Amino acid sequence: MSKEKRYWMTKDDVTSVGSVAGPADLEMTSTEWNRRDFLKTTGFSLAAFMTACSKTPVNKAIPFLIQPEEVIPGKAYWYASTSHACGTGCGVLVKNRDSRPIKLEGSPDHPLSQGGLCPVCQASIIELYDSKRLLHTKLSGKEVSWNDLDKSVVQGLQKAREKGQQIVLLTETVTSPSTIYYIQKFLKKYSNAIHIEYDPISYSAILDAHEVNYGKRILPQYDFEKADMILSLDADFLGTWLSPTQFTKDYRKNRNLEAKHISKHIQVESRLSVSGAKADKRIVKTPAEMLQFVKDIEHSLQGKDGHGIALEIAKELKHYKGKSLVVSGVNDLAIQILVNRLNDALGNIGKTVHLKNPSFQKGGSDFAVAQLLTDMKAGKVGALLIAGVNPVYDLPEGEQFGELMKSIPTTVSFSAKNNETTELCNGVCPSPHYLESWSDDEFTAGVLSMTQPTIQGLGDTQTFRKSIAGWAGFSDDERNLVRNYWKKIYTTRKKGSQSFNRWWDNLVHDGFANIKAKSLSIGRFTKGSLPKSEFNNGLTLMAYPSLQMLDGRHAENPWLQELPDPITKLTWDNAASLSSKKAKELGLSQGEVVKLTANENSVKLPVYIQEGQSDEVIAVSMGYGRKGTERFKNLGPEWIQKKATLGDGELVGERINHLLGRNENTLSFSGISVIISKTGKKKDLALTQTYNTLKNPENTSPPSMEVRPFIQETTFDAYKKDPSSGAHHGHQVVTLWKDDHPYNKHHWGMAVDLNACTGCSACVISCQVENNVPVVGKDEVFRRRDMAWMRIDRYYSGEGDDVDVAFQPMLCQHCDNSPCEPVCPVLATVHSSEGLNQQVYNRCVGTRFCANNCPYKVRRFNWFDYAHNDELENMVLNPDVTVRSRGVMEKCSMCIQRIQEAKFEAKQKGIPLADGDINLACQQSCPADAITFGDLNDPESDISKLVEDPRHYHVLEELNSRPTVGYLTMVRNRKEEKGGNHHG
Amino acid sequence: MQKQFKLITALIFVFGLIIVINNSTFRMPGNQQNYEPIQPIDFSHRLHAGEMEVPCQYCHYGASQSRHAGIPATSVCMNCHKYVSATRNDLRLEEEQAAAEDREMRPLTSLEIIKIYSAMGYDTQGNPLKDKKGKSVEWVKVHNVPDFVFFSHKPHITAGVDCADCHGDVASMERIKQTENLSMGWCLDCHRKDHESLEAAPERTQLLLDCATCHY
Repeated sequence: MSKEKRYWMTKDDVTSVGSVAGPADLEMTSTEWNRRDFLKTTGFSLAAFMTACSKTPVNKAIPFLIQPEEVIPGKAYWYASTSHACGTGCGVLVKNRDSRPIKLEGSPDHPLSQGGLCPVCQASIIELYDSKRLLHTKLSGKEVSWNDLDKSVVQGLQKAREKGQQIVLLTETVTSPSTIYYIQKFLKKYSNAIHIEYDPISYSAILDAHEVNYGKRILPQYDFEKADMILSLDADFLGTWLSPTQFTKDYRKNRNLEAKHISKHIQVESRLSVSGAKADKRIVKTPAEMLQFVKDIEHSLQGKDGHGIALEIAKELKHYKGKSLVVSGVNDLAIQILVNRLNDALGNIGKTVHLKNPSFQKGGSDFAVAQLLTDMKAGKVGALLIAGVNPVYDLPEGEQFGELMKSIPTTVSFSAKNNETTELCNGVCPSPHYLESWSDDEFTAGVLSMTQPTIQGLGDTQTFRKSIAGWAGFSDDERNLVRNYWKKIYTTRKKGSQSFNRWWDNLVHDGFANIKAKSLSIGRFTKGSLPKSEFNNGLTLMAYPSLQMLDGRHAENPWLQELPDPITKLTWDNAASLSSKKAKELGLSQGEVVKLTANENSVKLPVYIQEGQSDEVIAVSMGYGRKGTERFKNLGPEWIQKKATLGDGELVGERINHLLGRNENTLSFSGISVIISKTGKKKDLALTQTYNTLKNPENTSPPSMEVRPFIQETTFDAYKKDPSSGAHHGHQVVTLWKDDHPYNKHHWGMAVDLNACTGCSACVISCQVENNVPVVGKDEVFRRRDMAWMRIDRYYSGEGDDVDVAFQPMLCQHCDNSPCEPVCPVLATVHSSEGLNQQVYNRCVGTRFCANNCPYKVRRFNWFDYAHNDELENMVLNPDVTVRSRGVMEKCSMCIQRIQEAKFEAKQKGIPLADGDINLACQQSCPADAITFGDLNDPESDISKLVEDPRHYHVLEELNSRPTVGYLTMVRNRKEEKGGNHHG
Repeated sequence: MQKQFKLITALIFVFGLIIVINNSTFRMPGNQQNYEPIQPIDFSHRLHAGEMEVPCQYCHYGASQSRHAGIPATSVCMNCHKYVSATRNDLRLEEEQAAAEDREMRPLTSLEIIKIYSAMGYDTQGNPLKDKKGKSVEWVKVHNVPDFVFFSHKPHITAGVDCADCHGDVASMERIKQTENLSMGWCLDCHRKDHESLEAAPERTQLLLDCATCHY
């Protein structure tokens, strides 16, 4: 028997000391009854009794007044559009029911997203129905009409011009060609105006490095599909870096196990990222070490003094010349120049790095912002128009920026919500949600993405484009501003010979069009000289965008706040991640609040102990501590023991942007010298991975059962020799069950490819939107009552720095021998004739026996009627799925509503259901195509083929629950075998 | 004495129960059989579906394509009522009277049709008013199923179920009334039957008895 590989979820599993994190004893507190509790409860019972006596309410049925053509109530319509939630520009299909969008799905034809959609974009739909959105224009705090606002702004602009002061347009990266056109017109009209772009999560160094090396400030497009060897230096390209959905799709294509070889992915990083979790080889380095490391690789490539691991990597890179790719997410000019040199030396330009068709997703300049600050200090700025960004929060000098803004006579902010910056502006212009607006965007050269409104605007909103065009002297409606621009220039950019009307209709219908890319003159490669980098040695701070919050613009999105971080599994908070070694050295334990001081600013954060992280790095996620998040203080069901989760004026998490520094005008997100000190306080962390685990409790498990094989893992070398390597052997399954489920018609099944899954959590949010899964609030997460039907279990293996991470999406396994079914006393959970385990809400009486008996811990109990009193927010609910009431159990239904819908459709057409007709919510959204669903009775279906795959296995197979959801062994492209995975 | 007292109490309870059950107003919670609410417009299905033989799906066009059969938009009413503004009898009377008095016929609009016109924002003759906006008619929904039931008209129409099978003889109803109790048992009566009586080919129908056929 080979050495067993241990999988664990939290450090407590390994050390077996201490209790699980989180206030486990919360439920034990304050059980005493006093007079008030008694009155509340009797009063409630009486009220409940009286309500039961009331008459059936009269329902109104209000039809349309004028029948719109081709709109049938109750039927879903799909419109192609583009998501603007995360800035990468994924194509979406918007599901519209009764004139309101209720679900976003990746548009399969779109060249960028190719059918996938990230969790942030999926969740952004609820922001459309946010009742705290800005709906009216404001001038000095008073509601005014757009006309009055325009007048006042134009006056301000003229005054600035007369005084010879600067007019500054401060925006995020503008990707819309029509907006750029109107901005140029505006700049022409106001000759003293300048346009500054910046990205809160900056890519400035990459752009600047290309200016040094190629004479043009561009951001190349990276092709992960063609890269056989990927070296990523702190670029979380599967999680948050640049265009993660596109990269995941491309990356996946080159990880196809049927091929003779798959790509090899080496991640050099200081914290544990989603990409690092997926990597074949992970090397942990501090930012300072990383710089040296890249230099070593360059030296080794040139045949100079190479040694150690750098030489090894250099050799491998050389082996894959022209088919390799080096990327870096460090916002440091020196590292980025070195990356460019490596890519050039390896002949990757034009193959995996495309300079001629660059990306326009990010184009901001840190230098320009620094310059703006200097100008503001000197009093040169007379008018500041801000759109799409929140500098007071984003910039390290935010506070100072806010102070300086007060002395500028005209300040206008375009924003969908109140934020730190709008509070300080004279003029506030409400921006529409992207689902209410027209836009044209060229996110990458040659692909024009279209955004069309899918709902009548909910407020008196107006895009930045319309305002700036108006101030430049072009007034037209939103659609025509875009359309007329393209009418003017389409002949120069269109492909093919369509008439304009035809071209435009196709563009709106498809959501995108391929156009001619503007020709770029790229200079010859020059080596450039390396500037000095300021990476400090010793303990340093690293700020990273978390997968849920990114730069913080979605902080008021409850779905994203409650989405557990794929790695830390933390919800509703950010924390200072420390390696366990460092924490021990400093005498810190999880949850202890520490004070971090950097760049003369400090922040207090709870400690989170993170494996696989550099000992000299404290990693903190950005995007938290946003104003407006105080609204979540009392989020959650109303009940006697409810506790507020935030103090007065407290925000969700802590802002850390003011701890960042600047190095030669680029913003440093890492390598910042930091001082850590104890505060003596503790804070509970709302972690989800400490419960609902499949782990055997120590006091009940026999010694031989200690390692339960949830994850199967192998190496590519071993897989080539034996496709079933990594599988568990020798489970003798004895059954007492009669085979009394014939499954004559369909037998639904699912397979999740662990080799593909990146843990990005898109499926989790997609499931939440599709199935009306409620948000429970931080207090309830503490009480272990989160309601997600689908969760992603994260397992570690290995020790110290050198940990491997495995993700396992866990949902109802729809067992053929379901352990939940026989224990239900009221037959509320029963087996369907198609192999699904059905939960019948109206039968359920809430004994919770089923959840107790479920070995996979996927059942969720409605302890409460979760809040559905925000009528606007209720618009996002899927009308095809019941909103569950208090006291019933729920769980994954395998999107039965989608199965039914597809059946109805097929029946009406009179044709049998075909493989692929049914797309489950989780499956559809997956950027890695990890989920396959279909009919096991159809031998030709994809799922039937996967079940026959030697990699296919069931979790907890030894229980003989016979799940219909199976998993496929994870394969890492590495030679050495880190421990076996066999037992029994 | 004690025994007799108990017996009397029990008898009173049983009689009370019999009275309550026999009383036609008693029914299980949620059962709205024979519900016949007054509607904002006295629309007659007997006249439209019965006498005039307008097909059900002319107005309830959603039935074959959506879960909702739908209540027609007021503009659908106007397809006919642009031209038909009063009952035949009223028009004939007016015609006779006009002939007798030797004058032109006066335009006639019945009181119920005026309600449609005013919903559209028209005057009593059916001519659009300039500054008046329309407002949808708020009908009272008659057939309700609980939130935890998914019902779709589409597969039923596909399977060839006749509207009257569930909605009763609408063609003879002056005001619409719920004739069936819409309980689960009533649904299953049909779902358990073999579907030979249905028009559609038998292979297109199957016994659908899984809970998740309707509950999700």
